[in-house]
Amino acid sequence: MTTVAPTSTPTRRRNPQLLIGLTAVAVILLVALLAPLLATHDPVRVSGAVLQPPSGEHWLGTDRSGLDIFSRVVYAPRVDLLLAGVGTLLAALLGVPLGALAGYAPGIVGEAISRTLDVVQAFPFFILAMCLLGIVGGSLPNIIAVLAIVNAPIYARLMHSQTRTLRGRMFIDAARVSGCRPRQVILGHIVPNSLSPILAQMSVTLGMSIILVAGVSFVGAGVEPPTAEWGVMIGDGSGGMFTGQWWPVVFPGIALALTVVAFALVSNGITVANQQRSRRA
Amino acid sequence: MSRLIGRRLALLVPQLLLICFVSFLLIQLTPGSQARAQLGSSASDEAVAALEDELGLNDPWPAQFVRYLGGLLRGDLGTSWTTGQPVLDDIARRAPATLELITVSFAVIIVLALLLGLAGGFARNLLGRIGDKISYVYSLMAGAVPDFWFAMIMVFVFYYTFPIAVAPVGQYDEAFGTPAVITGSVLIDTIVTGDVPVLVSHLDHLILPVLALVFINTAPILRMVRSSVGEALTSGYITLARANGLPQRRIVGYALRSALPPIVTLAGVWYTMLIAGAVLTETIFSWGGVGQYAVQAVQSADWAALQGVVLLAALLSLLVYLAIDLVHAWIDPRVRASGGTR
Repeated sequence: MTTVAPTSTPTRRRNPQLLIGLTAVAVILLVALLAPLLATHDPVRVSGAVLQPPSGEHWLGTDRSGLDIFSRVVYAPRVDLLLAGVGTLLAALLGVPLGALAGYAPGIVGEAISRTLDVVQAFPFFILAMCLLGIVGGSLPNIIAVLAIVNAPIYARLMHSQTRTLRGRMFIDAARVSGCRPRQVILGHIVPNSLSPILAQMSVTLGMSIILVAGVSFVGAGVEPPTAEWGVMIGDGSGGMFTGQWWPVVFPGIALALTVVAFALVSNGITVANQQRSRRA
Repeated sequence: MSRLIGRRLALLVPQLLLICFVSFLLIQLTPGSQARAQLGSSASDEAVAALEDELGLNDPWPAQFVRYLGGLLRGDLGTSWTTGQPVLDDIARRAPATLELITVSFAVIIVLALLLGLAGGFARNLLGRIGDKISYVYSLMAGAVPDFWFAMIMVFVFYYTFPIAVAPVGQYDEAFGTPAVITGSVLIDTIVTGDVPVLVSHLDHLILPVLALVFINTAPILRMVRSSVGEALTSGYITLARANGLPQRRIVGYALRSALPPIVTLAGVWYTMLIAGAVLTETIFSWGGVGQYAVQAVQSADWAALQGVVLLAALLSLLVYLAIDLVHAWIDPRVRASGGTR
């Protein structure tokens, strides 16, 4: 038995952020999927054409190893979206139950969980991720695990406050009175009614995770070169920014920023949709 | 108020212990034996085993943790194998540069966010709506652009393309001499000693990293100021104040007063975000602070140094969080009255 607020919207409301965001995300996913068709060169095969500026042959130029930047830019979301996507999903799967438990369990258990989370959050996000990856090595499973660990407290926090707010609502009381166990109340009633903020947060986390992966790869603790990944590309080209070769850095950065903007728009859009729904309800 | 401070400080002890524990765990994750790492791969197995015994690496982990804590209490964070110095000394020498960079950026961010946010909150005309659109697009961009990428774009534009900035390397040009070290922060030291040439050179070097951090990090605080001021302005007491004909200056004061608590929280949290944000910015500008030290530690597998940075960064964040809670209690009578139970 679940009690979820009605989702069908009889009158369509304007939500351009959600529309644009979802379209952009779809385009990015399509690019990642069709990368082998779109790429003009092998993204990891070096050639003699080193540090060529953008041209008809190399649309976005080549880097210092002679790799074609356009091909690498279109291949990169395969790695970046995979890491950020799975990492975000695991973070939510880890944090949501923890936060619900902390918010629902009375007294010492709840307090203990939230104070522990405070401590994990005291570790500066990027430094902790960089340090963990430096120690365990930047393999893809390790990066995903680290993304899950550093992001999980955000979901626990969110779910904690959601649970605290919902706990006093009538339908939760009704569920309890009709004999639901705490587990049933949390999984069947509290989590489904918190989906919208969780999804909005996941979209933000996805974008932030892409930036985080790029950052740790930039310092050499994340994805290993020559894998086509935006942070690796920016790190590899960084020297050129002091001497005038801007293209190895500028293009992957723009691609990355557009991707993060797309997910931010989706997140804003989900929040707006939720507000529109609750205003109508 | 004193009950709140007591509660908060009592909480600090287990939190500190937990932070130390997490930082202790980090090193347990390192692959391979620490003794092997110290002796090098050519050492004999017996020598490695002997050193393991000597370092107590075969003791049960609670004993190792207690020993680690004992070391921390004596200020022993281990020795960095790249610099050969005690980690605490290494960090202490570099911390002023980092704190200066963060604090100067933070000050600029707060001033900008308050000015623009208040202006946006009060502008109820066409200009205000245009301003809102611009700030929306700006927030979206600032949140999506990686800080290290933006810092490099700044270098390219202001150093390479239009050479108006000095070479983005270090904190000052050594051609002007080396400043006397008092606090370790070049900014404060040169002002105190009146070392104008180095001060000017330092400001030249400071401007690009500060601009990069400011561009990326002002957006969230600006939006928070904008929305909490907007909320305060639509509340009844502001309408009353307006109806009573109070001057605009007083109304701004009132609105700011009630909009302050969420702003303080976010600003505090953002100060800790800057600690992390400074890591890559420092690296790009060869700033020579703790952030760059951390990146070098990662790149050279200098675990003791890395562990020290993580631990001290977390401690600093925890202290900032403590300060937020106390400031909150001070400016928000509701928190004060509830004894801090949120």
